[in-house]
Amino acid sequence: MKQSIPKYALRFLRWYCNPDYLEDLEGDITERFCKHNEQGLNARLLFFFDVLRLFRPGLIRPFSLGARWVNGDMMRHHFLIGKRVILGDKTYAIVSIFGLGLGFAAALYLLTFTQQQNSFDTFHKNHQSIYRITTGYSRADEPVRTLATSPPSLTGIIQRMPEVKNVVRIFQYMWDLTLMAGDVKYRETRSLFVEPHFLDVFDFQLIQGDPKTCLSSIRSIVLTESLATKYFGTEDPMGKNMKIDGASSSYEITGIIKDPPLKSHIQFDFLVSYETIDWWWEGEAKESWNPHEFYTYVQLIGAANPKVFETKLNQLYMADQGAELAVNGYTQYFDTQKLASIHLYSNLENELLPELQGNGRLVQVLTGIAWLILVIGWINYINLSTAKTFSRNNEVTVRRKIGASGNQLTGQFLVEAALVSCLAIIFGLLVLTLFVDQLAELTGAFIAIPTIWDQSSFIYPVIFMLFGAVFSGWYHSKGITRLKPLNKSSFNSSNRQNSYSGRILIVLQFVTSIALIVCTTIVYYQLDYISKADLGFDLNDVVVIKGPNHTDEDSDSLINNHYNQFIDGLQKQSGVINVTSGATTPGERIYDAIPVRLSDNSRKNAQSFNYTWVGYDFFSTFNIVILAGRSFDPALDNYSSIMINTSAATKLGFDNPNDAVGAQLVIGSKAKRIVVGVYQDFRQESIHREISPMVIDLSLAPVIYFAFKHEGTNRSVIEAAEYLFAELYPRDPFDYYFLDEFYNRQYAKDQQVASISSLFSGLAIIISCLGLFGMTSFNVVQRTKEIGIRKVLGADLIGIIRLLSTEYVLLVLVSCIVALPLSSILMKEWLNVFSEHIDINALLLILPGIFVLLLAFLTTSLIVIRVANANPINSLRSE
Amino acid sequence: MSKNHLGEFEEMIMLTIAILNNDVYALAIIEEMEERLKRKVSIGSLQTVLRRLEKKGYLSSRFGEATKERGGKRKRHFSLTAYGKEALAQAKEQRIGLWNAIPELSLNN
Repeated sequence: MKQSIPKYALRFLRWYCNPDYLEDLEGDITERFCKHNEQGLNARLLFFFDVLRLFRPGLIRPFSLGARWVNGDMMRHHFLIGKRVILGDKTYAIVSIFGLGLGFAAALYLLTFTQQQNSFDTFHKNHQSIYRITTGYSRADEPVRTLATSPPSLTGIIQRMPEVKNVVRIFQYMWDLTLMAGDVKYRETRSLFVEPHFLDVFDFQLIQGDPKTCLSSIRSIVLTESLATKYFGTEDPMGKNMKIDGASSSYEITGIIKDPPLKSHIQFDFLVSYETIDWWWEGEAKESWNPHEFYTYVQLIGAANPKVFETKLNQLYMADQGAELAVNGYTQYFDTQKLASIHLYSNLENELLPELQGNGRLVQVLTGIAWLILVIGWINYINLSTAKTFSRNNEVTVRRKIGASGNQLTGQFLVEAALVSCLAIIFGLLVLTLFVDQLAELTGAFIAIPTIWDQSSFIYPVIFMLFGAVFSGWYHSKGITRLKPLNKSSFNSSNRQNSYSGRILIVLQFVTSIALIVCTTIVYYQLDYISKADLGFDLNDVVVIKGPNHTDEDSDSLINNHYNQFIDGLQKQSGVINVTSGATTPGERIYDAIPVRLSDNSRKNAQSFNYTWVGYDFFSTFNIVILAGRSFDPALDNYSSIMINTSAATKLGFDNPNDAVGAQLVIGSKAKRIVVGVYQDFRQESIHREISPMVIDLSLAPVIYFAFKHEGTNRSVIEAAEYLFAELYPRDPFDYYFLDEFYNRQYAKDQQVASISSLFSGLAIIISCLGLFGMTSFNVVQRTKEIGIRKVLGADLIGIIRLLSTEYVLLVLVSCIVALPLSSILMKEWLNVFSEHIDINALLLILPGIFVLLLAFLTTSLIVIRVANANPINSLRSE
Repeated sequence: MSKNHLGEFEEMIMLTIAILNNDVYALAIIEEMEERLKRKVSIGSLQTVLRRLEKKGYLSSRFGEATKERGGKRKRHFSLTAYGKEALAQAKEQRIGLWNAIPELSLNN
């Protein structure tokens, strides 16, 4: 069988092989091929191996990018010409460097931000094998609720599974704790109660103390560095005692830990041993099946598959607890979440710190925008410099006549593009350095210059810039070498071809910027809508004072006595209208979901309602409308009264709120309550969430907060309150806030989206207009003579403007048609996050379109009017 | 170390060229070496070494006829130069010197 030499292998050999060796080697292996052929071997395959074996240093020819133009003199010449081109046309230089630099800065900033968001929790060495157990449950036919928490008893089952290396339970105390060291006392919000394994599983750095034992015994406490300084200054806090909430038992400091890194979804100011919470809660922290309070993290052994683990866990759980579930009419199951995905992609109930959760979708969109901005920047530059190149036709022609090769021309353009992109990088970095603080404030991201220097985020945009330079250098030289020297007519035809691709580029740019502007407009309208939305209560002029932390040692009579004194004392202050107390202020998440049913219904028919408790005057303090019945009244109520909202009334089956008054409810398993009033739904939480059915109990203790409504802002009322508080509750620090500020913090993330999108849509439109400006000026320069002739023949100003601008205005119109539906689809998704939102109407889409159209028209007119007004003699005489 | 030091592989190649009585091309060298030394020799390494030896002045080469089985490529025939022969002789002497210096006892066990 006669075989032929594999062509590709031969071509490959010829490509890489050093020409000095090529003839010999090719001859050798060809001869060998013939021999193999005669021997009846698979000669083609053997030939192929031969070629591969010869691909080795020493035989490979020296590769360099067209070695001919990389020599000193030529380079110096290229740089000189490049410098002259840049300095010679300032508008061109400024427009291209400005545009590219801004794009670079924006992209770099965005990519740093997104990379930071993407790398959350990856500092844990074992982050790839750590998972959080989450719970999904529903009772009867209610929709499934998914919780970030899981029952602490589950750990018993998990520990029996062979694929688990470690399991750690975490408890986040819902309310503030007052820490006291000597006389120094503060309220601390972020406390975690953790099992000893916590420090094995997670890589939080312990500075002092023994990682094995510091969290194992009851009443031991580990402070973060900053907290240690806050309470003890320069003293060594190790082994010292602290008190919590003024109780008599003391807690020993067994360790000092570094403040948790910002890129961690687990944040804390201090850690307390898990034994402590178990002691506080009398065993509940280990034995409870309540899925609402505790977090469980498991570390699987290296090879274990989380999905398999999940299925097994659910099976074991059903074997253990299935019967119990059936009796209560629950379904409950567990999922796993990868540690590193929690920050961006988890949006469950009971997240550890919901306000710090990231938004994966936003990060994806921003990454896209970052690259888009870079691409747009380069498109602009290429457009602009193409225009420039064609006006340098003479120069290039002379070069080629003298004998410049294609490679040398490429070199010339490459050096110029590299020069411009280096300047742009410098400019971009300058902008970033100057504005990084403002940017961080605007976007709510904790990005500092050192983070930007972080090479991993820095490297891609820079590579892209260099790639862009190479591409544009190559693109120009290809464009220009296609032209025949001294043949001006071919110049024109090629020019037309180029402006065709230019048009597409312009449309692409404007699609992006119009879409961004529409998105920004919609975001702002929605935010405006939110700020004007009816919350169902009045949050203005309400001051909230954090309540005292009572301990078991305080007698009930003492607590009541102090409570009444404080309320009465505040009420006497001038300007104070109403005073109340309670557990959760509006704007706070209610974590307590409690089963509620009518007393004549069976347990199985209970539904989960939000539950909180308040003191008297709650409804008048917050101006909540009572639809039926009455509010709590000290003269009429004992602790068997309850109030419900309209959603709850509807859920319980009362179509008319009046019918609900007097109904008997069972709250939890056996507590009986009589509905005394139905109040109108109010927004306990931001507009992101639907209003849930809710019951409000009457209880004066424990007091989580006091709140009072006053007339106008009056410092002296707050001072009086502080004085009163210090007198009655000497163990507790005085803390207060204004309800409106607190409530609106829920929209901080939306504000962030708004500022980011406005910033970048502004940027996109600037860059696009720069591109348009470049294209128009190029076009106008090309047609100077034509315009002169037209003017001589009697064309008027309007006619010439129409002639030169129509095309661009049409292009922008086309972009509008593409961009508007695109952005409306995108924004519909964003708006769906809110339970109440604006509808996207035609006006919201068309106004930004018209705005951009006007802007584009203005940009082109800037140049066109100048040319149209010029004396035709000048343009006709120039040659 | 003498200036005209030869590597082991270099020496083998030069000896093979001598065996074949000069004017040999690469594939012939490979065949001979594989037959006599029972060792695999790759074209790439042979060609590089041949060039190196030529550069050092131990070998000279001339182009032969282009043949059909070589795909129209010419053969390059290598021969030892006088300098190369001298280097081989010197290498041989050095070895013999070393062999002679070995006390008999140490090889007998």
